[in-house]
Amino acid sequence: MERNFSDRLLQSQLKKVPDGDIYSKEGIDAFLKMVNEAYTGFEEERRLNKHIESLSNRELEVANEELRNKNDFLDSFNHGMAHDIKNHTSNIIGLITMLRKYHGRNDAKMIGTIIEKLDLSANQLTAIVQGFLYLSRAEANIDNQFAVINEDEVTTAINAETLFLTMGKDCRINYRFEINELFFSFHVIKIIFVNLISNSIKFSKKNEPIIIDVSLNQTPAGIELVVKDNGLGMNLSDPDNKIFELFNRTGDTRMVKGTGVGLFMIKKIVDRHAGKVAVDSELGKGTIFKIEIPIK
Amino acid sequence: MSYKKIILVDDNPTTIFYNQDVVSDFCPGAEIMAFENPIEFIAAYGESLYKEEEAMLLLLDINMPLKLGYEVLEELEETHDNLDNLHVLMVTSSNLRNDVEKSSRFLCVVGYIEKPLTVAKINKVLNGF
Repeated sequence: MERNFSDRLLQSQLKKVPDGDIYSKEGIDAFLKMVNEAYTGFEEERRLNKHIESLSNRELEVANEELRNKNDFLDSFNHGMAHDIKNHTSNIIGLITMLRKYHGRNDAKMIGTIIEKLDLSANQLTAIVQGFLYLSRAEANIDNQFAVINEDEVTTAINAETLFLTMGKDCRINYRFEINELFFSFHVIKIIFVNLISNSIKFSKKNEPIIIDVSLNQTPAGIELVVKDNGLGMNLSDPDNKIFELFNRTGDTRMVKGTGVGLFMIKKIVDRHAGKVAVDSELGKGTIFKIEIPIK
Repeated sequence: MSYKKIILVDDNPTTIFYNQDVVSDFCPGAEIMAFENPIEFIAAYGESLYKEEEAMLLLLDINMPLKLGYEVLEELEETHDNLDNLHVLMVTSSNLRNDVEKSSRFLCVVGYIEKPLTVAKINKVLNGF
């Protein structure tokens, strides 16, 4: 089988590590594998797109244009993601080198600090790869698997996936679910809530308790997901505010670490379910996101 | 090549934490200044660092959300006659070729290092071994 892009990418990175640097160990293998799997899906789609693109049939012109756009999107997506992932893997490799050094010196205090930083880096990396997998699933239409979902399941999943962001912060998430049980895609509900809540935490005010109200309401046509925070807020009338675009991190938000994928992904998923995203925000006051999804 | 003052500019606090350890091994005893915000570094250079007579080593991250590495250098160039007291190592995480193209015109750039930083990599670029 032809080796895919991610294989080549990872191999080329591995070769660049000079002797004496640390690699291997199960942890690194595991996340490299995860990254690899995430890439494989995208590469496959890309390969097919490239193949169809090469057919010279007039009737395919319009479709080709669409595919070209998609390829451009995948290119920029690959680049943005690869960069983010590489930053974290570099940090992890560096921290492991440090760990060896301070282990040799029996410096327990320093070792403790390094382990905390490793923990943070590994979690940040997992969040990126997770987003990556979500997006590929969104593209592949797998988020249409419906099941009976209940409030406990949803809140447990949200708390687990936002734990690394809330840790050590004064953060209160209030859940108010009008609907206790629902027949819908658990995946979709979780992604939307996790991403909106993550944003609320990332764009929160320093030195002020973070309060996030999360609710799931019944509407005549379906359901409504609401996330309201007391964070930094934003200026929606600013023409540069393109929050739903991929990797768009303009203005003040550029100071906050993130991939710029979250809202883009939400918009994409909500569009596919014929839903609507509404946002209201005021600088210094907070932001409220309302997402309506019709259910047949 | 040894330095009395080493400056780190990188938006990621974990990278700063790690790079600090590496440069303190590279130049034991050197004063290390770290900036997570490139704009704060530009301000600090304009306030006092430009007066330093002895050359300082600057490790400059290329891909930062607030300002790209070469944008930092552009801005410094515009506001100062020369940047002779800065020996700049551009530190990059990806797309090395593109990054080299964009920053090779700056006289103060002495080399490029791909993350993660190591003492061996710094020595190779600065001292050729």
